[in-house]
Amino acid sequence: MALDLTGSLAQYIRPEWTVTVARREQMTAVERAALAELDEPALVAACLAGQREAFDIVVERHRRTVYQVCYRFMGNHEDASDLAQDVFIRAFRGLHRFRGQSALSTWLYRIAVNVCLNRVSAKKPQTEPIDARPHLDHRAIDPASELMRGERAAEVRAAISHLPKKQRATVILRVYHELSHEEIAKVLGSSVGAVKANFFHALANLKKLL
Amino acid sequence: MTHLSNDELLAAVEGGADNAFHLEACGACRARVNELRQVMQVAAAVGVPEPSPLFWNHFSDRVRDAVAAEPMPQPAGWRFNYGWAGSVAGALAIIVIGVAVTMRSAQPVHPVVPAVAVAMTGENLSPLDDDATWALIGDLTSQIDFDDASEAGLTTKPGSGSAEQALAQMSQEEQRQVVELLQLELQKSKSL
Repeated sequence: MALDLTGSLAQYIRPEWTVTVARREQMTAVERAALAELDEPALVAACLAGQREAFDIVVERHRRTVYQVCYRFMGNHEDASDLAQDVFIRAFRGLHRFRGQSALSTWLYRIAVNVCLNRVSAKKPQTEPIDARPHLDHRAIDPASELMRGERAAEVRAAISHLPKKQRATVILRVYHELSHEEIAKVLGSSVGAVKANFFHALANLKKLL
Repeated sequence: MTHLSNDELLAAVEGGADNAFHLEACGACRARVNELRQVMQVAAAVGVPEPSPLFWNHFSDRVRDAVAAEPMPQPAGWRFNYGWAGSVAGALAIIVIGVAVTMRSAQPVHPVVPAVAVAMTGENLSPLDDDATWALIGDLTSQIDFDDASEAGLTTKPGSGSAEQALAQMSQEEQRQVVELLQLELQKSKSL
């Protein structure tokens, strides 16, 4: 196909040059579907082999979980969204360190918890502003009970945000993500006994705070 | 009656039935388990607001763009690692310094007679006042101004924080007091 290079590009091309124009390789839907069927070690291997699209699949599979962990720590959408993005970028950078000895989700949990704990150390946790809360459908839900539920939820979030870091992480992973004590120990890099002790004390502290 | 440990209480809170008989019999432990179970239920009821469905696509796009700006991660293996390179460089530096210090200390050292020892053996030494050479030098240098000598490079350049610099920064009165103190100390040492 002949191209008319009379525009600004033409001035940079010398007559003696042979110019070849190629369209950027796009992944077809079939190739993408094939990637989506890969298991996690194969996806990681594909990423390391240079297929960035494989990482898109990783993001798609885990974005909700990572976002929810970040939201539980930060208490608002904006920070949760930013931190979840940061988690995936860090995961991509450190992909060569993923050994496959634990599940990719465990590894992502670990990165997410570290990123969130670093952030909450530097920043006082915020709660969701009232105008950012989800719109209530007044026809379907009793507004009064929904308001009370919202206030109670805010109290619980505030109480959790006052827990020591490890206790907070343990509560989030155990109560909301239903990880086993062993999985939490892997995520936090501590012993199962320490996780159990943290969880027990976290519940006892929440009892006092609520 | 011995009450349940924290581990056992937690196991009961999470649904374990190992201590069911104890909990039936012990009201205190049963109340504690119920309290903690209730706290867990209250906490578990708090959900995360679901973002807009458009958010997820937008989020994936943001991550894709950010990842596209990153270099491709390299498989584990022979990767250049700045941490290792720093450690190796540090170790080599320590080895080189160690070898240099060892070689230097192995060289024969000329014995230095301590000044105190010389003073103690002072039988063969003549007083400086009686030394004709020192007397000549004294006569010649007494005519030279300190500033002239400095310009001629005959004096040591005061280093930062040195005694010379400190003296140079003193007023004439302060310098005179220092000289008096030094003379006093010299007289004391002579009288000993």
